[in-house]
Formats: sequence, C-alpha cells, structure tokens
Amino acid sequence: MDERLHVSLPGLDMKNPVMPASGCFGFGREFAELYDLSLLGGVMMKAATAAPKFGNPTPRVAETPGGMLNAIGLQNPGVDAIIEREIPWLRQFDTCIIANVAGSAQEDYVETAEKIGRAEGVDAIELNISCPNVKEGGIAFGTDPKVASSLTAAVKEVSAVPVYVKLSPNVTDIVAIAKAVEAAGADGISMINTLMGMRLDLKTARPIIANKTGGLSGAAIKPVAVRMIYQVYEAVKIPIIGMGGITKAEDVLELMYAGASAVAVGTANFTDPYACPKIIEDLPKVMDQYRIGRIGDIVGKAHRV
Amino acid sequence: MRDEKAKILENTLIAADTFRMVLQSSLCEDLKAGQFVNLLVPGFTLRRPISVSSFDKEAEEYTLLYKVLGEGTKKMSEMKAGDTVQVIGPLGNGFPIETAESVLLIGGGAGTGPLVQLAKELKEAGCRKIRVVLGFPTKADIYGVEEFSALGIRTHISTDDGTYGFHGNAVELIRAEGLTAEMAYTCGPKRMMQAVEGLFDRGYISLDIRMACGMGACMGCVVKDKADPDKYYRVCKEGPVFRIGQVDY
Repeated sequence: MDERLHVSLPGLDMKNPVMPASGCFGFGREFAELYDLSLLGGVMMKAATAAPKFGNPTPRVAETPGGMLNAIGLQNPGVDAIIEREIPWLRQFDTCIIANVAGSAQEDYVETAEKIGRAEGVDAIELNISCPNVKEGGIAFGTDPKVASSLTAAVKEVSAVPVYVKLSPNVTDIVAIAKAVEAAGADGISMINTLMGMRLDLKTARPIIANKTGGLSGAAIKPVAVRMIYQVYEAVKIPIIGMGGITKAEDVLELMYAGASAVAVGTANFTDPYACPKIIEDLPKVMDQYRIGRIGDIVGKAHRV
Repeated sequence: MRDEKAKILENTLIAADTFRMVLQSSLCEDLKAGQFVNLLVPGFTLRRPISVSSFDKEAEEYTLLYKVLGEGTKKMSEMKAGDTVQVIGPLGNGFPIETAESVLLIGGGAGTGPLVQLAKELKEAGCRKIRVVLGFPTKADIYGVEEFSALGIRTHISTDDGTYGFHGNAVELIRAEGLTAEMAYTCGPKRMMQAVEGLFDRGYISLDIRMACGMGACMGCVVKDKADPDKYYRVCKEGPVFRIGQVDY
C-alpha cells in the first residue's frame, strides 16, 4: 500500500481515493473475476430500494460522443436481498463499502437506509436523490432544497453510518442544494449524478432509449463535474466525493483540485473493466509528474492558488 | 472471461457492409458456440459486442462475421490485419448442443454468424439432418453460404426483394418449402425469431440487444421471463441464448 494515496473521510478510511461509481459496477461480482477488489479504495454499490425493482424497458443504454446515456431505472433485488447476499460477499475484500440508497417516497429511503446502515461491513451511505430515470422519487428529491433537506434529516436520524448525499447536476443552482443538505446534517456530498439527455434514431425519429430520456455520463461530462465540485467546495465544509467523466489518473487530480476528497469512476469501467486498478496504479506516477507528495494535500488546491 | 489483446489476422468485406474478422488470442480456448466477445474500438466509450461465428482452438483463431451498422462498426471495419484489438471474452452462455435427428438453423441478416460454429458442433454431436435457412434483404447482403457448404450443409436462401433464392423472408421460405425439424436454433431480427417461436416448440433463440458493460454489471440489457414477470435475465450473462418460449423480448 502506498501511504501517499491514503485518504480519510467520515466513515471511510481509504487506502486510495478511487472507487467504482454506483450503477457501473453492480455489486462487484463480475469485476472480481478480473481483479482483486481489495485494490480499490472502496466500492459504491448499485442502488438499493426497499422492494425489488425491475427498472425500465429496453433499450436502456445508448452511446454518445465521449460518453453514453442510460436509463436503467434502479433495477436491484431489494435491500433485504442485498444485505443477505451481496454485502457479506463483498466483505471478503479489504475495501470500504458505500451503500447507495434510493426510493420513491421518503419512507422508502428511511426504511432502506436504516436497514442497510446496520448491515455489517457497510461504512457509509450514499443517498441517491438524483436518479433522473425513475418516474417517482429520485431526482424529485434532489432538485428542491427544502425536500432534499427534509429527506437528508430523516435519513440521518436513522442511519448508523455517515451519509453522503448524491447531488444532481440537473438543477439551476447546485450550491443551494449542497448547502441545504449540509445544514440538514449530511456528513458529505457525492457529485455529480448523470446529466439528463436524449438521442433519436435517424430512421424512425424515435428516442433510442425506451424511457425517452437518459442520464449522460462519461468523459464528456467531466468539465461539468469539475465546475460544480469547484462551486460546491467553496460553499460547504463537508467533504465531497467527486465523480463525472474520470477515465485516467490525471482526471482524479483535476476533480480533487476542484475540491473532491475522494473520487468515483463510472462509465470508464465499461470501456475498460480494469479502469479503476489502472488509475490507482498510475496515480503515484502522475503525482510525481506534478510534484504532489500526498494525494490528500491537493484537495481543493484550485481554491488556494 | 479475460480482457486481452487479440491479433487481427483478417478483416475483409464479404457482402454489402458485412465483414469477416479473424482474431487470434488465448481466450479462444474457452469459447463455446453462440458466445460473444466485446471489442474495444479506440475513440468509443462502449465496446462492440459481436458473436463469435466459428473458432479453431488449436490455432487459437476465432472468426467474427459482423455488419457495419454505425460509426463504431465502421471504424472496426477499417482495422487492418496485423493490428491488435482489445477484446473481452468469452461472454454469454452459448448454444446448448442437443441431440436431435433433425435440426433447422434459421439466420436473419447479421444473425447468420453464430450459427456456423453451432452447425459444426451439431454435426459432430451426430445430428444427421441439419438444414440452414438464411434470410437477407437483397442479393448483395448474402453471406455465410460457403461456411455451411464447407461443412457439407445445404443452405436455403431467401431475399425480401426476390433478387436471389426464395422471394420473401426466411419464415415464409420455411412454410413454402414445408421444412420441418425436431428443433430449431435461430438468430436474427426480433420479428423473425418471434415467428420461429410460433413454428417450433423446441429450440433456442439468440438475442441481439444494446449493451453497455457486456459482462453482467450494468443491467443495461435485461429481458423478462415469459412465465414469471418477477424473473429477469441479463442478455449478456444469462443469455444471449434462451429457450424458445423462455423470454419476453
């Protein structure tokens, strides 16, 4: 383990700042066929909801320049199955476990967060108030500061572990939402979820994604992530887990300069299933290149120069 | 499943917008008929999932027959013999090789590819009566005939516009020529496979669907079980091959 990569956030003592992002890694089983998940700083699990959820009709994915659209619709086997089958399996690895929690009503979020926060091995909760692909809930909780604040407070009250609220970029003022969840007791923020987008089929003129719209992710959204993390870092004191378009070690520096204390890698896992371990391996070399001693020292550096 | 560099031995045009790519890499040793590989096209975010048409385990060579459908496959068609390409595989479940006296293999357009290895293995398994029906839009699109004739298997061809073979689609050809078999295997357009499911009780279909990760993690390519709406399958992992009547697609 390279001490230079060590970072510490509420509930998360991480050997390095790199994690696969929620929804792009399932519960890790498929990737574990390729590499040892103990290499990872943490794993952000696929969203859990109170009841099992099938998700949206297909097609659910489409490629875009520099990225992709998805509208999976939070498909998951439900919180009970995740606690029973997935978390115990994931615990065999020496890595932090962050449980992503989603819902369609406040009671769902509270129930799921309470259960999963008590599951042995879960180090933190990522509160997903920003899924753009479900009809009820999801993003509706993340676009109004009052609603976001009330949900955060309710989840904080029952959660046995620190809560990171995952923010949506599909808002006019992300800083207002960030401040509201901080005031409601959030231990940290994770940002950004996908940007709502659309693609049309040239032959039929119909949307390619069955849900019509989908969430845009991938390299194309990195500048948006950097900008939003930069703005939120200035406005809040709680740490930020940054995500959005990371494909290489240099991108990790950029998001951390903007204000992220740790990062998550999403879509890049589809281009290259070894994306996370490669980024982790490359980080010390890239840090040398930019004369960085410890990675933790660069958090928010853009605001100090 | 492994992610490795494969050497491109051949990448040639064999019909309208249709190419044969022959790759060489170690994942070949684990390949089963009907499985696919996920190919990295530099500059694109998502990989291209392509069925393996046939393979030679001794030579570690496997063949992809693919159609240029968009920018990614266009770029793929420009790759040169001698270059390398990053490939994940084998992926998916593949075709079960069942014992039957007579089998009909029905391919539509780009769905012809995976039937080649299947035909070979069915023959090796002792199936005496294998017949192949291939449907294409027009004469210029026809491919795969030599692959089957090399195995000593006769191919029945249909074209939608009647420029070659039977005038109509593959299912109409089956009806018109009164082709029957104990079981069927099919890969091709959705409507064709649904019609095949109407004709045969026993057999397998191979689905083509938009995928992202291709290895079971993203839930981008799921289909529901026909009998149990709470049960679902990931086409990339539990598929792409399903029993006739098994899934709703």
